[in-house]
Amino acid sequence: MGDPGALRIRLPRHRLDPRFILWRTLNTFFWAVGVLGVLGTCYWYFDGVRTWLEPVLWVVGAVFLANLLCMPTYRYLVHRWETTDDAVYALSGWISREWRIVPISRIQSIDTVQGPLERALRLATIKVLTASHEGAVKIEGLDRDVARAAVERLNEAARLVPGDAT
Amino acid sequence: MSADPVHAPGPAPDPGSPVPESAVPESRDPEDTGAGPEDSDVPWQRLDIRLVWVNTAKLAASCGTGLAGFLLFPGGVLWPLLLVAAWGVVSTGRDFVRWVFTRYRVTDERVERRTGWLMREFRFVQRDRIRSVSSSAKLRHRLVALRVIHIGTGQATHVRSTFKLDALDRDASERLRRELLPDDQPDPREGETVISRIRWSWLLYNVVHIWAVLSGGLFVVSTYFSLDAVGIDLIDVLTGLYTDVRPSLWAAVGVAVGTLFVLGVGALAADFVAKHWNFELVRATGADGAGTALLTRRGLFTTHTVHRDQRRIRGVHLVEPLVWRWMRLTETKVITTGLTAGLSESADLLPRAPRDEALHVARAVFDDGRHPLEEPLVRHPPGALRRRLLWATYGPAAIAGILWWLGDTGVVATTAWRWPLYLLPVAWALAVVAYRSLGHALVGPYLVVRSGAVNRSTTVLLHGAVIGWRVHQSIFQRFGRRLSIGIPTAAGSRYYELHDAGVDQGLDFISSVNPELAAQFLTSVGEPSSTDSDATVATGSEQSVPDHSTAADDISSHR
Repeated sequence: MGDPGALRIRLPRHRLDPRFILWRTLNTFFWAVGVLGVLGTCYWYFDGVRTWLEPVLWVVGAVFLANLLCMPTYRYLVHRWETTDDAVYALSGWISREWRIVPISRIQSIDTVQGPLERALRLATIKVLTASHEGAVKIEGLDRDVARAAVERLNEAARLVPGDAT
Repeated sequence: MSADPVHAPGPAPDPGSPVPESAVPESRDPEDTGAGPEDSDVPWQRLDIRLVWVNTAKLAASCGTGLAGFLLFPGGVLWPLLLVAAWGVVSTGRDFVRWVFTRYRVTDERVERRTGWLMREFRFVQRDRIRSVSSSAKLRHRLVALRVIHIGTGQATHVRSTFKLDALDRDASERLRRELLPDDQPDPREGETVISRIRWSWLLYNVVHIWAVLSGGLFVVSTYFSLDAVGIDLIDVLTGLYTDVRPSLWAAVGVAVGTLFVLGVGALAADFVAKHWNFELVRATGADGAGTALLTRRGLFTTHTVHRDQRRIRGVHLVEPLVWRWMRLTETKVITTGLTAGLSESADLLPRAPRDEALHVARAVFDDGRHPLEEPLVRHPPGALRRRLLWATYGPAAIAGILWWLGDTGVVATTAWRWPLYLLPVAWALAVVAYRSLGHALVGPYLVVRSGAVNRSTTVLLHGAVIGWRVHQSIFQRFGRRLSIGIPTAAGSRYYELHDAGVDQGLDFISSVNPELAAQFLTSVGEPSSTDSDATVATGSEQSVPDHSTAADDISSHR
């Protein structure tokens, strides 16, 4: 299967917590209720906009339905993460994919973020920040304890590596 | 981890007592040795008093001309002059107060400054955090040989210069600069090689562009207000002219735009001359040949000197606008940490100039004798061209579709859907241009990436400056076996991209730039994916995280 020596990018080792699916579903659901609610109210009250708002409503509704049914599970199957002794590595996306690698020596700070929904579901998001905003890595939907252990580990590792080398 | 050596206004010492107890600037850095001024018997110093005299003189001059104008044209409007005079009085007074209450000193550990009358402020910079010391001077500073000193640290978050001393005697400022950064900034008179000097033919390249009309407009607006102050209403004059001549509408518009353009070109030319007078880019070498720096000097009324330490330089960024490609015009920026490049002018190595000059400067930036910008670039796979042609087709097509539907429902004209289709040939041409500018190369310790249609930008970056990787693959790229690579860095605009490379090209690129890191995440197709077995080293909690990795999910460069 191809020449030896050609490279491939391997998968990060760990999946997210399965509650990620529920979290994303609820998230999408609330967004859908908000957006469709506003559009629907406009449709209901203003006659003038109905001609062009109706197809817009259908399209937005279809997109949200697809998002609600497929996206959370699909993302759960794709998203993966891993920390090694000298890097953080994460894969995310569903239709398109993104692999992000940050060497621990270049980490500037590590944040743990929990929104209200995440708190209720005992999930957490880890944000690894570097000197470049675009170089940050965000790992969403980890079990709270797993996230805490990973952050502790990363902080320990980052302490041992001198300087952010900028 | 992001230490902040600069401190917010805190309770500051009484200017009289050298060691106050109450000064407690906040500090997030545990390594900071102390909170207040150091116990040190280095005497505090004042700013130069000439600053106050020259400001007073400036106030007198501006009020005098205003008054004269008002007396000569008594019909004019008074309030702009009053505003100018009031503002002048306030700023002169503030400068005086600032001079009275500002002290600074340079100790072994840090540079300290205290200032403020009602709002006391104490600020210090650890000397080992200082990344740049630059000086600037307005015309009035230069008349009395003063310089404003800007001391910058390498913090990514700090946009402004963190520490300013306004103003010091020219010789004192030169001494201070050499004291603070002895390695980087040698005596400018020893070991200087000139890399580039202004050529006035560049003036043409820098003033003839579309913004000229806009700056002409600004010029007219400001003229309106200045003439208003002496009793001439520009609008009246122009309307009078219009009714006298009675030109056709198109002629009037043509003349107006033409006039604005000419005025704008004039204004831009004046601005360019004022900024780039005596422009020179030199490499300054220390007496012992140790530290070198790239140094820019320029300016007619306000002189600027920018030092860029060679050790902080990470690369070079060239931008070639499409409209000027036939003249090979290029903007040249340096990618360096410590300077807020991208937005700031201090990153500009050259004004817009011919490409040969840009390459000459780039050769001088890289002091290891390599010429990464002159190496041939690797082309990206033809799929990238197809993708761009598709974008160029379905963009206008989608707009046409929406317009057709809107025309059908009577919102816009029924023929409107044809207009975007006329753009198709232009869009296709741009797609081809965009594809032709895609490319990358690896030259010694440098990586080169190039992309862009309207502005072709070429970036040369040191391998060591890369602070992570961001590999992106859309679903179409997955089918076409291509990927895009984002390259975060701490310098310059902090993010550069390699667009639409083949999977092999992209992964080879990563593993050549960062072999040790790549060894962990990129595996050869021939090898078994061995890394699954030692999963226990990854985190402390693997047992709770099931692993379902299958080779089929990987993107592999050969299927």
